[in-house]
Amino acid sequence: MSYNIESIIFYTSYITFTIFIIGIIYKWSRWASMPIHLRWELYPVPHEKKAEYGGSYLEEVDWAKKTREVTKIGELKEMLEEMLFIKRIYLMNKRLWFLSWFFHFGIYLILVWFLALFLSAIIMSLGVQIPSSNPWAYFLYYVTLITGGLGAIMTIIGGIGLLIRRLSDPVLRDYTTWPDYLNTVLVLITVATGLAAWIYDPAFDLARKFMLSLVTFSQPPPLPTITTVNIALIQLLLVYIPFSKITHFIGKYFTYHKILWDDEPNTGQLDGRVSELLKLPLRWSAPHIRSGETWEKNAAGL
Amino acid sequence: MSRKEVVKINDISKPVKRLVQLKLEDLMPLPPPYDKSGSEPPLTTPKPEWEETYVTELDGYIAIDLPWKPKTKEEEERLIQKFLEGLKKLTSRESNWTFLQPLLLSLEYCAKCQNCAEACPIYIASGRKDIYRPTYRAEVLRRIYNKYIAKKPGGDIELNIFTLMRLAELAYRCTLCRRCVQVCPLGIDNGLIAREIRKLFSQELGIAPKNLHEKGTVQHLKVGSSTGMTPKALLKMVKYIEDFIYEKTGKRIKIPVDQKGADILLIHNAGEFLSWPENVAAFAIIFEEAGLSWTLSSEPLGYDVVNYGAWYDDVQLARIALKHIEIARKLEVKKIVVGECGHATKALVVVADRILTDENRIPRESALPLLRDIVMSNKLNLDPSKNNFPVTLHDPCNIVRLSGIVEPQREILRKIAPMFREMVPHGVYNYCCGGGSGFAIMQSLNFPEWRNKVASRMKFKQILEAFKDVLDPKIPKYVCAPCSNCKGAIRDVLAHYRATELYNIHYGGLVELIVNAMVDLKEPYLDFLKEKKS
Repeated sequence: MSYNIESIIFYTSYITFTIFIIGIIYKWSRWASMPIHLRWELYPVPHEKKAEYGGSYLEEVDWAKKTREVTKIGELKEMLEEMLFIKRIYLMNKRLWFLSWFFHFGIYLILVWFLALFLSAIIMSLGVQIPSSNPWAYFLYYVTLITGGLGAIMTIIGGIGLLIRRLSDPVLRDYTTWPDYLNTVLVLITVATGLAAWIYDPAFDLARKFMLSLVTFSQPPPLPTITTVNIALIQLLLVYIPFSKITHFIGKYFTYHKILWDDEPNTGQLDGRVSELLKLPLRWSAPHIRSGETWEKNAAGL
Repeated sequence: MSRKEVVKINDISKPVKRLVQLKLEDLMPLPPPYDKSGSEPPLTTPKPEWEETYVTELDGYIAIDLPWKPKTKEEEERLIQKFLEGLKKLTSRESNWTFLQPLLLSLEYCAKCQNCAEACPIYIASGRKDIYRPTYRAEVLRRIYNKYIAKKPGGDIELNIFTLMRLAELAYRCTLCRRCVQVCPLGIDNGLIAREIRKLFSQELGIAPKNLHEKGTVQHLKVGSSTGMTPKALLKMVKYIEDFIYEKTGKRIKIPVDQKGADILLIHNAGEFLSWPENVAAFAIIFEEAGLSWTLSSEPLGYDVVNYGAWYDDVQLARIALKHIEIARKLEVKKIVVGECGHATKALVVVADRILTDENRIPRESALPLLRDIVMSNKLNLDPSKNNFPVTLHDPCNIVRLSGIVEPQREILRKIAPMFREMVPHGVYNYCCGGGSGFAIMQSLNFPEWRNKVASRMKFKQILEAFKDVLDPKIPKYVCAPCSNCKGAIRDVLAHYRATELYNIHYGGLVELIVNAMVDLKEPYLDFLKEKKS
């Protein structure tokens, strides 16, 4: 392989994707390995049987003696409504919702586009032509076409709208810091160059070929400059995401599932973990606290 | 979002006498009959001598009634240094494992979209003052944390003495009702952040409102009750309540105290004994009539279920909860039942749950489900027509939104109060009474004015709206609030607006209504019904 710009982009694809995966795993495990916190749930908790009106098992006399029933379907439903439609913003603020939903749904479509490209490359490596009359080829061809174009347009409309909203409203402008802007701007530039590259590659043939070269580890096709720039930006974004607030999809998992919806009573299963934590020394220095003594001794009133 | 003037995040460090000055005409308008100008008392300004000792630099109101305002540059420096040390501990595993994950997630992921602001009754009631946004204090803390502890890039902030003093006061402009969290697409908890700031000031600097700390948890642990009531005084009080029951109902009831091996240890908020003995009495009447095996405790802390630690201090929270458990274990009861007290329910049943390991794992329940079962089983002979007046229900945040106990109290009311009507919104989407997180008992200096005017404003509006068709002063009306602190806040707001005097609006707990419906009572149990007759 000659050392042209395509081959550099080709190799950095693997590197940046690996950094992305490691970064995401690191971010996830950082939150997952935090000590267990005191209970701080907030109703309605969707896995409760009485979630419809926000009730919990604490409405029962002798709840400790009864088997606790939870409905995972309720939780899944609430999760999907929130992920796909951003229900909480919809209910409070329709204008913000319109922009935010366009932006996020556009990104989901782009992710589907990536997946379709990847699957296309897999079946191409098995000898299937795209486009062709093969049903899989047919399906993936159109999925790629729809999700790529629509995703990019929706993301850009939503993203620009969100940016204008932040810049024009004095309160939002005051709260927004430059890393906040950087996140949106980086996503927008990446998607915008993708949209520009689409002009040179209306059926995503080049995109598919580049993906095929990645999947089969073979010579990438020659690319127009704008496509190279777009791929380079995607790679930059991949490296940037784990260190930015764009990982809020991870944060959201923990805030909901591990805090707000975590109403599991301690029936002994948590004793081990909690006992460990109670042995930690307290360093607070107010007069009512025995600084340096353990939590356990402090709580016992020592 | 059109607005006159924005109070910016960085304005918190401005060296000015007052960051905002509330004006009556800016506040959220009240519905009729309080919609005319002059129908509510005016706002006052802090006394000049207070400004010397207390922090009045935020909005002129004083929640932290300690003379903690630094006098010299050195004192200022020392406070700032200590604050930063505290912030380091607040964000460390060792000293704050209890809430580390929720706190750091909330600091890291807020998108600052302001979706939460419209859910906040204080922000709305204040006429949408920027400093009361759920995000305001959170963003101040976030910027200090990013700049000094995490060393992350982002918005700048100046940590001077004004920032510090105002942030401490701001932590007490939120009732921790957590309505804002319900609407956050990312699950960011701005209520929690307010409580974490309080913790930092309490656990590191020893700064907290006197009614919460010195006369609150400290007194509770020392004397046995935050009201100052000693075990001896409690026993006298029980005698008084037995006589009270006899006088009111003709029933001779022996209230069980320290009965070893009883099924239930009932613990009230001790404030009930002093302010609403009819509530304690009603519990005794119902429990005896239902034939329960129950007891009160006369051990220090055993007769006061409050746990003010839930509002500002994890160490005090744990100490008090463990004491309650110890008392229940000594009495060998099967479970603890918490009387009509919201924060105590939340603290003992929910928050303390995980630190109660092994033999400390005694079942703890709210009294409401038990009362529901008693009423529904028809063990009491009740005549709903005795409650033939409009009743509305206030949902205590700690019992409803934070513990998921929503229906039991409603089932009871639907059965015993024919004119029961809901507030809008209600249930888990209720509005706080304005007394949450300790505000109901913070009675010093000018803080009650802020509570009545701003924090309780939304609740007062809801009460008026629930009764809008029956405002006629000839019709008695009842706000049922099954929580001591909510009752305290509602008592104060009704008095502030003279709503009892002018419009015959009363308030009280749930058990009083149940007893009022008892067939064998010759006289109404609720005093305001009696007064009307005579």
